Amino acid sequence: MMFKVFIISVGIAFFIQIVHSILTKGVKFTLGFFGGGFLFGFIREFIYFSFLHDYNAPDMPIRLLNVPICIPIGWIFTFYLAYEFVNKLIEPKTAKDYKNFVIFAAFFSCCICIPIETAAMNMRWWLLYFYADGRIAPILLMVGWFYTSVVFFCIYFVVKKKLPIEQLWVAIFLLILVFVLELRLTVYFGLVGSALQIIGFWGMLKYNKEIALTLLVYYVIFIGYLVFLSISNGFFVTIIFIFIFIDILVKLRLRDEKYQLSIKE
Amino acid sequence: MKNTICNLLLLSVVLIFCGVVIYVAILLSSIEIGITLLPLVLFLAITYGVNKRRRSKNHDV
Repeated sequence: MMFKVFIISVGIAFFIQIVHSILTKGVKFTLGFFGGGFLFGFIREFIYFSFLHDYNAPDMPIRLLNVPICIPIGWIFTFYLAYEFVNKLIEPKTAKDYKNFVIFAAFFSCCICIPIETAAMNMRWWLLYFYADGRIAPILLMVGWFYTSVVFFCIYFVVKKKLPIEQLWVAIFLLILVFVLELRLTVYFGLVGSALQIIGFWGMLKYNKEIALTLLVYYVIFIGYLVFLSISNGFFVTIIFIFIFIDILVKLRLRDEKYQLSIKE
Repeated sequence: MKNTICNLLLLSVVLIFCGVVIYVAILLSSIEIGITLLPLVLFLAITYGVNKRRRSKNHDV
């Protein structure tokens, strides 16, 4: 019963988003963003449901190639909200602004991730095979939502010519890192896995230092969680959120100062 | 007018999202689940504040 309420709510919210998108940006944008977002979300989930098996949603209706349709729709829901609110937050104009946009959108995804994943975990709407304890969604999910948003918005803005094509390398190197992490290559292949991890991180550092360093902070906090298992997951989730908001406020402040300087000049 | 309607539509999407989470929090009597909404609320509050400040600055210019 409760699950139906969730599905219906998501359906209504998704419909409102489509109406909003058509009213504010037109049909062409809506088709591109929602179509692209769905395709991206679907491919991501197809890989997870077919090869990685980290989670499952046995009660979700309507499946396509074993992927519940609701999940890619959930991704578009997040991407569109992130797109709208980050647009309002920074009103991007330059390529540098769009680089910040990608990080802010990924932060926004983390803010969406924890409440919905926590609610879903407690209601058993979907099952996480890698996490059983606690009442707050696991810290690892924040990394998952972060990288998914970064990859999506990198591709989207490169396609829209808002970011230079080199930024696609950020997505590629990030996917290498995720590939190593998800397949536990460092555990099974030792040096090869570590080498791939270093290549992935080096590539990201080369093309987008901010995203690489943000991921490094996430990684360090995650290692802290693994080392101090007696401390609750919720504590580390809070630490990541504190980092996120400090980063947002610092970036906004720096941007404001640059803007003031440009006016004076 | 159109702008206001669009803002309300976007707000209603956020409210539906928060509503689902709050409903689960009440159903399970869990304050923790409700607290997880705080970062999202904070993000939206910062967005609102920055946006409002920018508009008032633009208006002054």
